[in-house]
Amino acid sequence: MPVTLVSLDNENYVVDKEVAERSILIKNMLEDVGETDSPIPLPNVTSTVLKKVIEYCEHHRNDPIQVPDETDDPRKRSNDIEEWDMKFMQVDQEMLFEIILAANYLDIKPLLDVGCKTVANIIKGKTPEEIRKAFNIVNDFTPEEEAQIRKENEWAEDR
Amino acid sequence: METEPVIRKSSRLIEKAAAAALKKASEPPASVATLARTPKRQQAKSTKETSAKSDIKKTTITRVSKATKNTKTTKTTTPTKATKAANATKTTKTAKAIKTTTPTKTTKTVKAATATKATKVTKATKTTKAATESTKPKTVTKRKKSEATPAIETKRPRRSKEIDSEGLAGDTAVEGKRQPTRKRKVDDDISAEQEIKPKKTRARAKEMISLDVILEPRPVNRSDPCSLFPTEIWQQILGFLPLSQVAKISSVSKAWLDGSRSFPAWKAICDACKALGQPKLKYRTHMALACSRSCWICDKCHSYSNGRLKASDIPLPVADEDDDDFVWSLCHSCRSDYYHRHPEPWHEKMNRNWRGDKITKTDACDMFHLSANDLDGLYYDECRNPYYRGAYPMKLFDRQEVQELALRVHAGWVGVSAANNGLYRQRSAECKARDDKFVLRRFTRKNKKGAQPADTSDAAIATQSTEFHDQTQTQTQPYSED
Repeated sequence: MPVTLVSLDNENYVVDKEVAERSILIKNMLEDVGETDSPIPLPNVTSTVLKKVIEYCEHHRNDPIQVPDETDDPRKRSNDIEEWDMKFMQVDQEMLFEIILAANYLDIKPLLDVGCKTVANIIKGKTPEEIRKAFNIVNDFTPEEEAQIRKENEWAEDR
Repeated sequence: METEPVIRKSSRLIEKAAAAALKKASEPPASVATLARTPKRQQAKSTKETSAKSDIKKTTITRVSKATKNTKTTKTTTPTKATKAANATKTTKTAKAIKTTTPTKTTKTVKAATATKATKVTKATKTTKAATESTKPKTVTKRKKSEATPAIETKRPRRSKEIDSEGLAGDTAVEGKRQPTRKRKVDDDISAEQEIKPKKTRARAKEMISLDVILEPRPVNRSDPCSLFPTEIWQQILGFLPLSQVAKISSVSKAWLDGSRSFPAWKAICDACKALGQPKLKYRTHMALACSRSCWICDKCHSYSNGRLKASDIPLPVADEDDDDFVWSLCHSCRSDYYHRHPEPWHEKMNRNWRGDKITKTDACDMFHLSANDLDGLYYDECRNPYYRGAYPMKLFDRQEVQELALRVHAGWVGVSAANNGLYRQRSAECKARDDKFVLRRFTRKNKKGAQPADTSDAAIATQSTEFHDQTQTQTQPYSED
């Protein structure tokens, strides 16, 4: 049974129910509404982002649903990303952040995890100055404040 | 003099005479009449207004105060029978009006009804938000009682309670006695409301202003993930980073500093390890506290181990092959897991001597920092001691097995070397030195007023640090030098 998703800019995307139900939000909505042909509005997701999200859901349509216990493992690694997912996430930063926000809104946990891991990989191993450059962040500390914070976290600099 | 013009039921002649007398009087009688009427009108208006516009609290409060003033003025007058009757009829009207606003079943007498209403109203004023609405009926009932029962105004000693109950007609006398006390309570309540309510409204107004300031839309840097993402997502991202990296990124910007400090792992570490304690004056945040003992905290599982039980238990740097050789500081169990997935090669450069691939017990204990108990499970060959004939026979262990055991016991070669070098002692010394440095800074700051500190730059940094802490950290109490 096809489901129609309507993006923020009123573009309709018709997808299989199985694909749409990768999103817990849509799944719950469909359960609440029942079998209807009425389109599902997604006012927080633009058409370009929704297209990417649908692409991800199409690819992972047969994946088993994540059990919460597995995700609660404290020893998480940011590098265990599938090859396809890694390629999927090779987009510009703005798009990456939009996908993460959309995944959070649509409650697609695997996509959110992949996005978070990608961001973590960008941050990992970089110095504060490199991070500022990477994300176009302005340093709003005074030199004294920055020196003090670095003194506090001296051990982190040593490692 | 003032009560004469109130007489209305008498004949016209009497009224004319009264009017003539009033003309002579300095104060016009109309003003007295209006004094008697205005409170009711005002009250009626105010009740309507309060029912319609409950939001406007200040105005109602002021009207309440006016009404109370008017009632006081009416108390001073000595009403005649006609005024009593007129007031009695008005009290019944007002009592009905009260019934409509707050319904009750007790309708035996007007007084009883008004009394119950007054008590209920006083309760309502304390609890509900519609306090201003309920204050109106309260004042009305108070005034009616005072007008309807003029005996109240004659103050009696407290001992007359029994005499009244015997001498006077039961209900009226008892009520007549009770009313003054209730009046006082009501008066107190009203005065308290008059004093407190505006303060509350001011406080609310301030809160609203502050909320407006907070809720003002601020420009979000769309390329900054820390300020763009919700806290949960940001903390999820930080969860994939080693703790040292989380601490390191705190100096990117103020938003990142807040994000790093609010990372729940810091608090979890402090809560899990009792030795760390809680943030106080010295280390004011969980992050600062955990960072002060960071050399004992595992980057991955966030466990705390200071190597007192076993020298190789401390977190040691491991280059993760799965993570592009990113260096993590891993505890014993995390290292064991890692080396189980990525077994380390044997150390080929062993002291190859006449024993070949065998190693004595003494050498095994010295080279691999193993105890006799560790070696208990291994097979060994016994041979005669070549140096001392009379000595116990030597135990020769298989070199490879000993290496395996050492790697298992110390979780990798890094653990073996740490155990051999006594790295935990070195680290604890460094940690103590850093800790002392913090204390030293605090003392220099305290002695700033007196003797000049030796290192002025340190003192300057210390003062700046405290000021900065006060600015950035709002959760903890500000640090006072006193």
